[in-house]
Amino acid sequence: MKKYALLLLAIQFAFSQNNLEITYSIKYNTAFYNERIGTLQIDLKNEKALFKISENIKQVELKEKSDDETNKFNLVKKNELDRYIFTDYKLDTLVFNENINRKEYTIKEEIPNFDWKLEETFTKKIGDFNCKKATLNFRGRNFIAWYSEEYPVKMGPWKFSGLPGLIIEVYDESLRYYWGVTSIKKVNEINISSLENIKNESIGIKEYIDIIYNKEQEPIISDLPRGVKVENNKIPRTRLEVKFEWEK
Amino acid sequence: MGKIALFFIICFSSFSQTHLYGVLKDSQNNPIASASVILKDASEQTVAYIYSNENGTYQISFKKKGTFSLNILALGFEKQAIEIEINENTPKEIINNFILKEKINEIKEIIIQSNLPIIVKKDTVIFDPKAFMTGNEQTVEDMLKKIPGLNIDSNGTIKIGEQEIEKVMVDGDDMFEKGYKILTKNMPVNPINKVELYQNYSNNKHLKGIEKSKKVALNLTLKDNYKRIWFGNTSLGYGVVSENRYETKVNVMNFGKNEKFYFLSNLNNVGANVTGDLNQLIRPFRFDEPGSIGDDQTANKLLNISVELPNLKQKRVNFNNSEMLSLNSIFTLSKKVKLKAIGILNTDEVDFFKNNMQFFTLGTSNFENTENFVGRKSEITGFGKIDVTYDISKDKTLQYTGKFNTTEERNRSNLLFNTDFLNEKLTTNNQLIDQKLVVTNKLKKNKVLLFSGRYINEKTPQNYSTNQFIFDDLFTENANYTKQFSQNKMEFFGFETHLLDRKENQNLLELKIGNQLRIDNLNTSFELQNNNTIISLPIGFQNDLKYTTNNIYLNTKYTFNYKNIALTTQSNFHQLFNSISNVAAKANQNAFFIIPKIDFEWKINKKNKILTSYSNTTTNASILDVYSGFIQTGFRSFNRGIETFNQLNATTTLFNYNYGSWGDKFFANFSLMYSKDNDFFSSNSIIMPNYSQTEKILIQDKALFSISSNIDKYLKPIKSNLKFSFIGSNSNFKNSVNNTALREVKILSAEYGLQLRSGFRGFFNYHVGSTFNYNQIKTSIQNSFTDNMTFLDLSFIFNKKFNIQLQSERYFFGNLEKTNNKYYFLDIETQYVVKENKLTFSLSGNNLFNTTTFKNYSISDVNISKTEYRLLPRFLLLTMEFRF
Repeated sequence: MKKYALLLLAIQFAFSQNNLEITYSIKYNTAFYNERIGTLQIDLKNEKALFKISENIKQVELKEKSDDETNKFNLVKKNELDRYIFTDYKLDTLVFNENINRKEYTIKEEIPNFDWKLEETFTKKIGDFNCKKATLNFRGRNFIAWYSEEYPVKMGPWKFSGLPGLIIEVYDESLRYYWGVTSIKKVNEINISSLENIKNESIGIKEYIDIIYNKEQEPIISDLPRGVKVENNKIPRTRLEVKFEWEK
Repeated sequence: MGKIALFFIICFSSFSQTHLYGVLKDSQNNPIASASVILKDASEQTVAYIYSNENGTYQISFKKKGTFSLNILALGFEKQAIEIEINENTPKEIINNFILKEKINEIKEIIIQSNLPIIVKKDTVIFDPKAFMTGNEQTVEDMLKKIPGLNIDSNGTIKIGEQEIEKVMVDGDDMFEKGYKILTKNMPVNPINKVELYQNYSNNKHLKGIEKSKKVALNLTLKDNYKRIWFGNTSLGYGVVSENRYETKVNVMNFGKNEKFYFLSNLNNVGANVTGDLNQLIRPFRFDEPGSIGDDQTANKLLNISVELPNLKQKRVNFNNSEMLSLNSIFTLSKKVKLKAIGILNTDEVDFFKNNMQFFTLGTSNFENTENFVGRKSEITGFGKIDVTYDISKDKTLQYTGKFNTTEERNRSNLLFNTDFLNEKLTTNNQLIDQKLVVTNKLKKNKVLLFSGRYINEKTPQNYSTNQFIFDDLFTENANYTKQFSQNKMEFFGFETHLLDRKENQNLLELKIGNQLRIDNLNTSFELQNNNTIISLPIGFQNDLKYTTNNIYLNTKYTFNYKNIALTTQSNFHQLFNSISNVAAKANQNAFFIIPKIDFEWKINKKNKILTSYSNTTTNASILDVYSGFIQTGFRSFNRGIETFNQLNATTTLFNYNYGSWGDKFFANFSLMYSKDNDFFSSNSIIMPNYSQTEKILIQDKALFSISSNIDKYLKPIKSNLKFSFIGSNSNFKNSVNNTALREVKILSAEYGLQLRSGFRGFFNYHVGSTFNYNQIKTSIQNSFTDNMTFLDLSFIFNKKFNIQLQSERYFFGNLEKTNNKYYFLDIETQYVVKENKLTFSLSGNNLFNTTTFKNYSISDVNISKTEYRLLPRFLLLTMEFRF
């Protein structure tokens, strides 16, 4: 929470009507299946959204059970950090943080263009919501979203935005990543700050890609013992974002 | 809002477009931002939509004609909609302003049910491969590559994070253990139903979550109705432009629901050790694992005449001709009973060549021995193993393992020893019967009780003879031939009860009560012959001895976990009943001792970790320590034990500090070890040119101190990792040579090296390194030497289909004559993939500099020796590998 507080110098907005807090259940079917809670805070008036991602729930559960460090899901190097994605529509800016090999990075980009294809003939009832289907090809993955016009909100979980209603459920076609609403609350106060404080220490999206897909692999390849052959050193991209708009 | 401005320009410049715009306000005349404005056609399909900006304005442009509805949706306001008719006559710009009525939204709590292709149970993740496959997958490996989180490297090693998986099972049956690549690289993907990933895996299912385990394993479940099919691969290699070299490998397998078969064969004369992969199957080594009683019990081989090979790649030094066939099968006899059977037949013929010079400096007498040795070993091994698993009930399992092995080994040598020409003959047989029964009973969720019982019967009879008599100084008889028969026969009976109890707070209590009885029979008879007549059985060179040790023990172990600290305390109580009996006498001894051990592990934080341990161990003497007559252990050497019971006491202290972890940009490890043997077996030797006689003696105080360190640093500018390693040790003890008083022996050794390996993402990579090795032995005189090995490996990966790997080495021996103290090697391997996982050609060039001899230098507390070995000459091997 430390970084987070430092970063968003808590400017408080107090509007009675225009603030929403939506909770998502996030499921990552990655190296180790893990579940998280996403909280999307929306300041409609100022066109800002903050999506916070909790710690791995499974890990939290285990932590509560025992103090035994060794008995946890610790096969994958993991450094928990409060992750967030902050979108400021007025400034056309999206900022998120990520921990890459134990170093925290703040990455800044323009709000990406989401070219949603509305497929309104497909509908699905989720809870009390009548949802409509939309599909999207975004950064190398095909996503399927179910949105509700009852909540006319363009902001969505993770980086998503731009549907005619709130995203109730969205997942990629291989179901590797999944977000689904569990609750919607109106709130009076939301702490969303401006971006000014973090501009200086942030890196651009292209540099970020170079770090995650190129630079971080080099130390690992170069740390192998003698006789270990590396026959194909292009490591497959398996992250949420695989292919970027400017890449061929 | 640059986008909007751009939007405007585009809109106004288009022709037949209609533009809708307006302002949204609330009852207090405040603009409403972020409201959704959706234009729908008559069939309720969205034509266009936009969100109002901070001034409450909206803009929608579209081309269609007809009847539309314009819907205004804003959070906290009532929905509004108006109908708009667009035809030829309607204006191009339509303005509609709205004043929205406020409303109170209900808060809805919803619960979402989703059908994910991954199901997670505790510690088990189940994947449905269909959800991940794209259709071009042929083998299981292709499929596993697509599953999120599994990393499969180019060799086929499967890792999760950085941890290699333990095994790949098929329908819960494990045939290959760590050799799973044979399976994943060859098995077709069609029969696979689900992939299961087990975390914190235990080899005994009832110990899951109770024993401490970080193992990971995969299981492939098969489709119910899938017909059995045979599949496999074969690789054929043949020497081109060189003498006859070949290597043939065939793997064939078939997996049905209830029967699984796997056949494997390997024939080669290129130095490849074929049984290496199978050793894990024959004698699985499971250190400290519950139910592994007796794993360390073997009968002893007293004599070995094959040559120890220098530390070079097998394909340089191993003059072999190996043939191996292995048949493996698993039968599911019923829901509760499973039978696993393995059979291996192996023949091998290995040639040895060695020229050796030894310089003895023993104070009063100095002399030199030369040995020119040419030998051949022919070996045939038959091995069989049966595993039966019977689930008595949900919480109770019985496992039976039966093994038998028979090996017949024949050695012959021609040895020119100084001026004498000797022919040695040695036959060695090994017969092993091993039976083990383990019953696991899960008492409670966190409590397991294991009963293990094991019986092992093993013997290794050996017949050794030399056709020359070189022991004139030792025996007065006029012999011209010597012969020795020796046999160690061992019987082991062990049973053990082991309780593992993981407490609520995760602390682990282990209690073990058991009894292990080992009965050794040692028979040796050394004969002097003259023209095939036994003329003497020298006194003091015969053994007929029975040594029995019975060990009743209680082991207690408790692991405390508190935050980042783990403390393990262990106390093992042993009551021994030893007895030695030979023709003349019988002696008994009872001994009681306690072995304490403490381990302390502290993860200070994510980067820093400290590990320390202390133990005080007591080791009971083995059969090889207690025999009284000399046994011939080489053509000119005799050894004997100490004749009495002994328990040796030693203390060991260890400290380890770790910074970071493997793969980090900076990683360092530092270890210290100090061990002190309060009593130990030293030696009293008589060393003469034509013979040596060594007997064990018991003395006090042997000390060993060792220090080691590894440092890895990733150098970003050159994208390479620099590794530094250092291992140094110093030991001190006393022994006696040629009846002098005890003398002190000090051994100092140090190995240090540097390596640099690149992590380029292009087609080229390098790995270069150099290691120095310093040894010093000090008695009344001091000897020392420094050797060096430097290597340079280059890798060129042109594309997925074609790659070249080049390995070169330089060996330097500081104390050899300048003319032959440097050796160079170069190997090249190229691979061309015609069709991935289907057909691959490779060409390997071995020993391209055609270095045919290799000499090394070593020192001991009595001599200096220089040994020259013969190497496999240059050969090229063309290999075709295909899958069927």
